[in-house]
Amino acid sequence: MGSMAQGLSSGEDVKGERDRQGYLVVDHLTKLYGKNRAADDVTFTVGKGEMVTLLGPSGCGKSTTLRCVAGLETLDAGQITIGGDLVSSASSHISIPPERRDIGMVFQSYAVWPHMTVWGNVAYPLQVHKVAKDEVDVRVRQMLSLVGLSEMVDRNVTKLSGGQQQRVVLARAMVHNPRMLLFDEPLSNLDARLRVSMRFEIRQLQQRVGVSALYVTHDQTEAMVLSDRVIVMNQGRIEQVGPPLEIYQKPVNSFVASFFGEVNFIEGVIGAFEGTPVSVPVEVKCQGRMHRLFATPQPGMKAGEKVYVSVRPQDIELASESAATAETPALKGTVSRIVHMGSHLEYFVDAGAVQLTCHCVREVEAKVGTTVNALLKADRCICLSR
Amino acid sequence: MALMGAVMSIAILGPLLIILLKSFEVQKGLFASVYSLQNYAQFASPRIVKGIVNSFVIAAGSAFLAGLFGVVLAWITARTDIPFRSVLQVLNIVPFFISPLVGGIAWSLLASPQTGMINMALMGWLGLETAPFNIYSITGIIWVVALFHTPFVYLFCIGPFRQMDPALEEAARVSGSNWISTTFRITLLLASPAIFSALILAFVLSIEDLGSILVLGYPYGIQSISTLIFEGIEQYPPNHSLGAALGILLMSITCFFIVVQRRIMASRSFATVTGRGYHPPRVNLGWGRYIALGINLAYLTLAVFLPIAALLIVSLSNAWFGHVDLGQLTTKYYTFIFSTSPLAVRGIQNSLILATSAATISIVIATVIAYAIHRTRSRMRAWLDLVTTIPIAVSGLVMAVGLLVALIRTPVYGTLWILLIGYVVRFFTYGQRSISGVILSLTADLEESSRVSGGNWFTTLRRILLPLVWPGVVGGWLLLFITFMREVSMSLLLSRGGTETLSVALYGMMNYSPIGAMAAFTMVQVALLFVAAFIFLRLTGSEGIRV
Ligand SMILES: Nc1ncnc2c1ncn2[C@@H]1O[C@H](COP(=O)(O)OP(=O)(O)OP(=O)(O)O)[C@@H](O)[C@H]1O
Ligand SMILES: [Mg+2]
Repeated sequence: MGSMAQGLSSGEDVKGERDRQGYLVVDHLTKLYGKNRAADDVTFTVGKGEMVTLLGPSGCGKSTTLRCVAGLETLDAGQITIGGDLVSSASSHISIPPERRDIGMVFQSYAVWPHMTVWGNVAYPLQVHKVAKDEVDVRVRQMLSLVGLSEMVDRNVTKLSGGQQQRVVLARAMVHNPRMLLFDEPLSNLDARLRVSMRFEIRQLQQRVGVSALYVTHDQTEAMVLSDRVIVMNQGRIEQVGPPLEIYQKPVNSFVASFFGEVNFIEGVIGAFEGTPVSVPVEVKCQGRMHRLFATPQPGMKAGEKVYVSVRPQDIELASESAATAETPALKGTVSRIVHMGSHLEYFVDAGAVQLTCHCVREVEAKVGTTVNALLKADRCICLSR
Repeated sequence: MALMGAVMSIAILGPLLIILLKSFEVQKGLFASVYSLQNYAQFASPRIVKGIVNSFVIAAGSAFLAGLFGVVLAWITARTDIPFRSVLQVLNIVPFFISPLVGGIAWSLLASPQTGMINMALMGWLGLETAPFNIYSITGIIWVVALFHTPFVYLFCIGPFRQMDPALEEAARVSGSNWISTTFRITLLLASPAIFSALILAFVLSIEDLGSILVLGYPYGIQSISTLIFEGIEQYPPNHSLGAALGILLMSITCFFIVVQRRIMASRSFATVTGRGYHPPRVNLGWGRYIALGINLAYLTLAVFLPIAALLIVSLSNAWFGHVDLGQLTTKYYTFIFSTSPLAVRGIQNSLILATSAATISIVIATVIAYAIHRTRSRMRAWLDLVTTIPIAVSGLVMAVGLLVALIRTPVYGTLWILLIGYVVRFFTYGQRSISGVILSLTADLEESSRVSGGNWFTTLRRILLPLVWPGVVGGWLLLFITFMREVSMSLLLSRGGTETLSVALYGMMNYSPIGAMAAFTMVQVALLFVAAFIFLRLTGSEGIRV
């Protein structure tokens, strides 16, 4: 049972340290469907008590990776360990079946068992683990009150709302204190409002219980709210791993930048520089003239390299044509459209070959058709290779 | 699982191989035989040519008529504001539970040129000299077969009609087309793959049918491929080789059409007709709804009420000359059946034993094979999927000939076992389709949730999958039970003295007992079937029938 795996005695420092770093270790996992590399050489870890999100567009292999961890798929290469136990290994043909991995999983379609009551659904994991009858009842009721369903114990699950069903599934996944929780887009069937509140609930529950979790989603805000670390995947491969804010602020390539929030890309070529400066000059051709911007380079970038300068819409400042902008590099353009979004305003600036989207909290003095300067501060611009 | 797959493959393919061999075999003397095309050469004889032509005419005519009835009924009950819709939707299925043999017998009471009730009544009222209808003709057979195959077409089409995406029709209405042209140019066109496959199904069902033609045609010199096969097997000495050759012919025809049907179902996209629980708007017929009601009631009268009334009247009349004589009512024929006639009692007993055991065995096999196909990564999946459609394409009559030839020298021959094997091999695939339908509607994550919760494979099967599939199992069992109770073709070929089933006993009584006894016995069969059908419809609704 999970409670045993969770209990750390003081003499097990080594194990404790190892768990902190990598309770779940996915090591060079590859999964093929025919010739399609659904997961391609995927390596990452999830620490003890940590919640890690797999984020990526549809079909990028998130579910495949998660299902390999759950033991629902066999690997074509690589290995997986959970809490120090080798559970899957392609080379030595090990594949511990899902029921012996001591995990809990929440699926996208709620997958509540329609022929059982709420109680029956939540009790099932305990029953199959041969927990004593009266203890089952106590723990089921405890778990149901934790997810706010105490009133619904004897209800027919199919009569519950989507949100309530999802809570049942959550309770079912956690009731036997598994050592690892797996989520496969659990909120995508809920309406937007419920989705937002359930995010926090899941996060709270996970932190309260202190269980390690791997969470699949294609929703960037969900990943930001929920996770200690985010793994961005694309076409079966990992693009970047890190805390959500770091990924947002320092994406390593244009895919991550554009998938993780809105972004403007400006094509350019790195100019000459010396040493390893914080910012490097980037030559950008715009409306027939060359402009020089400054942006943070990726390690190892050299002069002459073709890059995108990436900048978030809210990091662009708009100034009227006359205002002095001596230090800050800027691109000149015409305001083509203004949209009030309620919380902010979106300005679309047409600078010839470059189209910029800028978010401003307050209205600036620029009407549609007027010329503005879009200020691009060096510390907000990043070079990403093209 | 693999073992069961292998056994079923042999049981299905074995008889077909043997029948193929047999069709080339020509007896030379008592113990010697040679292989030649001589059996097939007999196809040129006028008698057989006539039979083949008859088969095609009857099948095509009845498929056309059944198609017309079925599509009209499906449309008016699914898409118009006809009164009593939900009752009619169930009643329209009822003829499905009456076997073609029973239908043939009932209609011979209604429209035989000598004593048919309708004929007598019309001659009386209109002062006609001769009977207006003769049911003992190609037209008569087409009529009866069409009436009783209508539910197949109906069931095939009502789903697509019900589930059609309303937006497709609304688009047509918005662009200015009225409901009549929308119905013809959008609704029917979209449903045309379903309609077309239903027509093919009706064609195949009637070309392999033996029941109605055996009552209405065979005694009056009208032969078809199926009666020729029956005659080849039943005559003395039997001519198994000719039967086999005709069987191969019949099989080629039915296989060809079933393959065509599968192609249509697979190629023409049904994407326009989704299962997303739409409720397309119903056409408002105004006073026309009573015409629609009239049409539907007319069908039910012809296919259910009149035949059953005729059977009831004749079974209660002391002697039957085409007139109801209230002073002469009697229950003596019912007494006769249950006390004096060993054949009738044996028929009931045998059918109950066979239907119960064959339905149970079939459903177990069906469940295992459906599970293997949909829920395992067994390498046999594609093979199983193919093999299990063979019995549908091959027809019961041909499978019966194959089993007979294969098992005639074994102790199984002449016992209930050969019927049991035949029933299971031919029909388990219907049970499998009913269970597959349920399994396919269950997403795999219901079982995966159980696995990750700690339930092993067997626990998952026992506590999650089986309870969820159970309605399909029960529905499938009942449907098989009903099918076996009304089975005609295989039973007639595989039964011998002592192993008569309901249908075989009925056929025997038709030839050797008073007409009242035959009618009474038919009523008993109808009553048994209706009880089973009532339970079935109660449990699953009409959607439970997979044709
Ligand atoms: N059972 C399967 N058989 C064949 N191919 C599969 C199977 N499951 C997934 N794939 C393929 O593997 C790739 C990755 O699929 P996966 O389900 O992991 O994507 P995903 O990231 O979860 O996407 P989504 O957000 O749409 O759920 C896709 O190209 C998919 O088509
Ligand atoms: Mg997925």
